[in-house]
Amino acid sequence: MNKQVLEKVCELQKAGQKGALVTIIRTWGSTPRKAGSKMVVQPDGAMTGSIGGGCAEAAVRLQALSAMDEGRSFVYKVDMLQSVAADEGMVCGGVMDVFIQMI
Amino acid sequence: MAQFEQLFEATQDHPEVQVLTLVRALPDQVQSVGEMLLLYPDGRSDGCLIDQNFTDEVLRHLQEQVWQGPRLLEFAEGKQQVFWDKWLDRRKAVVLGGGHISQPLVQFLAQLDFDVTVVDDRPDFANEARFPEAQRVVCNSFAQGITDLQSEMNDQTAVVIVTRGHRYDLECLRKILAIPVGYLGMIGSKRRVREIVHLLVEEGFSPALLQKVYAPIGIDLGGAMPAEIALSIAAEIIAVFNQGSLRFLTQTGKAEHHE
Repeated sequence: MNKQVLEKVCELQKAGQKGALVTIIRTWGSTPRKAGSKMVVQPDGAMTGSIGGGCAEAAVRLQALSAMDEGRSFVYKVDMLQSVAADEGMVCGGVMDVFIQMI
Repeated sequence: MAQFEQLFEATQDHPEVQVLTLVRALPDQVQSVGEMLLLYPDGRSDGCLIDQNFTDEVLRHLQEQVWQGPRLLEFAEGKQQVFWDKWLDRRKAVVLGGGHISQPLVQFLAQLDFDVTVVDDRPDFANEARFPEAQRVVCNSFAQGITDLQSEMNDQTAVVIVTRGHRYDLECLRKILAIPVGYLGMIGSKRRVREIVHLLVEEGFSPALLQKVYAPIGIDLGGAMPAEIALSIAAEIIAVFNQGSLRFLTQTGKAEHHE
């Protein structure tokens, strides 16, 4: 776990601001980063840390933003095998579960 | 909801805290998703997952597990899932010597997310203008510098001995050998390294301890420029910390990317 990410989470909590902590909890096949990688997403879209970049990260960011409206923590599956991913040049060929956790 | 603040405070005192987060639960337990349980090295725990029963079940299960990196633990046939993670101290590097290899080395290590401290006894070399990426630059004798830093060194620390001379390298090595660090490397030709090792064994240091020193330092990248040597040192440190195989991926048969 990364100090920068944890500090950001605490900072948001102290300020009473919303945010989502995203953690990769499981991967299958080839993914840019492995379980344990984390990032924080803020309501304005700002991010701290990284779960591997690219469109997988962008897709997770969107999920995190809509989750913040509902205030619900949940597991989201990111599939990088889909043709959309390949079209975007994201050819890792893996699947990962991320946990989107409300701060 | 989740005790991030508590975790943050715990990490100030403990180099290692285990974090268990409930990520999936049965339909009537969804309000518990996101709950965290913190486990300290002395066996104490903080927090609760769903209820005391489930928390105890998780703790029992953990006792049979060996830590091999962050992973998901499953209960009730996967209907309940707990993510097992560990807070690890940020990786630190101590570079002893502020010469021409140290400059690119500090840059590389900072990029690799190490908190870097540089020590040199010459004000012209030990200054922040020369090492803007370093977290700290210490201008002091090597012996005193190491003594002052000793309490923060642990298995997440890499120490690189690259002073301007044999005498100083030896002085550094003598002091660092007694400290259990994650990586210890020393620059020098094979001959010079052999002489130093010989001398220290004569002084009574155990040969086994000296065998753990990466000297001559670095992996064979085939370069000789300061930046090439620095890269080979940084690569060696990463390989040691990540238990990398140091082979071309084309030859290891691994399809996966580096983490």
